[in-house]
Amino acid sequence: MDNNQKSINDLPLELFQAILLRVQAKDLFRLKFVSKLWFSLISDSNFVELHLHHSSGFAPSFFFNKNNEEARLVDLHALYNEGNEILHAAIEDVPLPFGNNKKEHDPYYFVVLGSCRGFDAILYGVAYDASNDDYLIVIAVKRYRFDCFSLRTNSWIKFNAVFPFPISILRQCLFYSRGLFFNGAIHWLIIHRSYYKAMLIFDAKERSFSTIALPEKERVGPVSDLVILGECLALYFSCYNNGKKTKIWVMKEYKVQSSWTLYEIHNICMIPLALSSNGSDFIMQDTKGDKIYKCNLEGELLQCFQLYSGVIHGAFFRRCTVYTESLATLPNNI
Amino acid sequence: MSGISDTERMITLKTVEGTLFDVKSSIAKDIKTVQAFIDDSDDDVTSPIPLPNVFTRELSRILDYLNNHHRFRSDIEKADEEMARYDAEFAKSMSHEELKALILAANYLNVKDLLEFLNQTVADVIQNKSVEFVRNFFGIENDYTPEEEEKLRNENEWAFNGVEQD
Repeated sequence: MDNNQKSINDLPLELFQAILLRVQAKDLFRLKFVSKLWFSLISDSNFVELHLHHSSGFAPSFFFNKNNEEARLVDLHALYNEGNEILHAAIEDVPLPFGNNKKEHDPYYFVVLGSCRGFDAILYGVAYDASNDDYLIVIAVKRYRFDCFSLRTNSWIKFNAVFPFPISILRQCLFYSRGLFFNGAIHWLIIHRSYYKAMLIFDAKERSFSTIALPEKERVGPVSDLVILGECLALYFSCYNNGKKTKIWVMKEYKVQSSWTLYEIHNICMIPLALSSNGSDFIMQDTKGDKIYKCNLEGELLQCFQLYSGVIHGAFFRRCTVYTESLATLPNNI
Repeated sequence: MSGISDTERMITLKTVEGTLFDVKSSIAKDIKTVQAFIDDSDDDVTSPIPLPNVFTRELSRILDYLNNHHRFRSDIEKADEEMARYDAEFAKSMSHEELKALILAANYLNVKDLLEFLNQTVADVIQNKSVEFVRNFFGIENDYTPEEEEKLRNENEWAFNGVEQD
């Protein structure tokens, strides 16, 4: 090699970061072990946020449990491209990152971000249709339409639901959005000109769409998500004007616009995971993913649990698990 | 001013090996390092602009990419489809060594679109690959002690599943 020629290792860190932003999270966890520098690069909380919202888009994968010890991954991208015969090929066994917790008998499922090649699917969600004992995977593709896949029949379902927005709104979605399953329906935040304007609902049983308005006069910025707190649907986002804070709007009564109630946690940006079982505290995760906090409804921090020291699980999958009751017991299981 | 319009103006670039390339000024605009050189010059740039870090093979690839992308952009109808096909071919035509050399050149010349595309190409290459493969690919030395590495691997066994054989 010519002495003048630089090696790829001489690339500026920003360029490594730009490359790693395009690598899927599953690989990034492993790539932390390339070197200590990479470890800190990938663990960096800013990187985590950037990765999460990186607009190249990741195709969704459906990650579900076989029993309480094993999980399987479905590459929805492959599923969508190849048709239904690929379903079994697209399923792979995945060990659970958090080990086998025998105390956990509640059935659960969750969605992770998968393949890197998916530029198209921008809204997706999984719903359980109790009337047919079926799991539905709903995806929306840019410039296209909505599609629904039934895991029970292993086939795409035709549905002629009227989409309540101009279809062009899908084009404005900057990055994928995972729908939240609640009350028999999938919920998405719909973005319009950089701010969330409304919530889109897909009813699994009726297979129809409807909408809910977001809290009035609130500018819900792009780093925002839905969560179930107690028995209520809530949305949260981080706010950086006049010092950082986490804003949580809880819709106390489902589909009742006037029931949106605001809670604020000052000086910290966190991700609410659940409401404690007695309803008096929020269980929150910090954006790095290695700590769980408990704070009361007035926004005062009460407790902090270190989940893992050093190695952080779940930092990229900030929405990976939603098992409300058990989170409070996590520290006992370490 | 002569009758020659701005888009027809040609700029000459000189690689490490001394090869000269004539480039339309509209293409040169996408090569930010070259454009900055032109902007900083008081007079019209007539002599070749030396690129001390860029080899002929890489510059020729970069110009090919830019020329084609300019051409695609002039035909909106087919642009997306043809560009995607061209990009896929472009990525496939390179060995890993060539890809790395091209990233370095694109980074030095600051060709934003190409660099983004190459970043994605590299991300695709290292997907599902082992830690060892990635270290080799980037020429990164493992600075973990064997004990540290074993501990991390044990704690994160799941992350090492489903990795392709190198």
